[in-house]
Amino acid sequence: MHNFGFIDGLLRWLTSMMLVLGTYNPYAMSYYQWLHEYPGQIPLKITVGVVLLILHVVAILSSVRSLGLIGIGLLTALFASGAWVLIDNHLLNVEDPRVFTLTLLVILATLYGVGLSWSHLRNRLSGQVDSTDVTFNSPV
Amino acid sequence: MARLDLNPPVQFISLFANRILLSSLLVFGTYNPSGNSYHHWLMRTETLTVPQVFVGIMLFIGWVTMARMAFLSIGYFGVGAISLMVLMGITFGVGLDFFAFEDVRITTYLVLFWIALVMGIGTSWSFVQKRISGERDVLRNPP
Repeated sequence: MHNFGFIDGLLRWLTSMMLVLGTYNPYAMSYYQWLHEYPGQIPLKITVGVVLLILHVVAILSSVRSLGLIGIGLLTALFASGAWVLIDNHLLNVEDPRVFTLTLLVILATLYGVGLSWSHLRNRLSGQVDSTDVTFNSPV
Repeated sequence: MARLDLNPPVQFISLFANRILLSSLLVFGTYNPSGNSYHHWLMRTETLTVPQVFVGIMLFIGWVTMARMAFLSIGYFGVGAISLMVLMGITFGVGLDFFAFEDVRITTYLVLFWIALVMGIGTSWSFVQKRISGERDVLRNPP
């Protein structure tokens, strides 16, 4: 038996970080910039785009399934107030639009990471199992 | 990872102790009469500061998750049963001459620990049920 530990959560968070920032980030190379600034390589761009789309759909659906709208709302409020604490203490300069965009992207990536970990955490903490009834065609 | 046919032994003491400790941390961190709690921190300042909002949301998330998990596991019956056990413990303590009724004081600490006990046992109960009868608590439509 393998318990869901800190490393597993960290791996999920880092993976969703790579996914979100690899799709778009305001500083360095990302899929978005590759699409806009480098011509050619159309088939490769389409393939990578579809792979990124699939990964985003997987992350979004599992986040919505395991956290629900209430959980996503609460976590967004938590991360937003955390960012507010940093801004208030002059640790984050959101006057710069690039930093602001990066903050939003990091919040999104952390939401993905928590969404992918939450069912494991719930099982570890309370022994309850999240499941999806596949005979009932739920929208998510 | 989560195989349904596996039913490993459960360390009951550490199971209950960890979860009761966690819920006590939440309950006593939110309010306790000693003067060092989130409630007293809020009372000390006139306006709401930013770190207070952050910690408040964190505590709120903790309360929502812990209370909901506990209630989903044990329900009204479990909450009633644990409360009854606390009351019967007091009654039997008096009946067995461990202490007198005059010495029993329902203090704020007792009530807070009572809440923490219900939440802690509630979050542990699914493990106990899985171990003794093999039944899993499953959330079909996770919220």
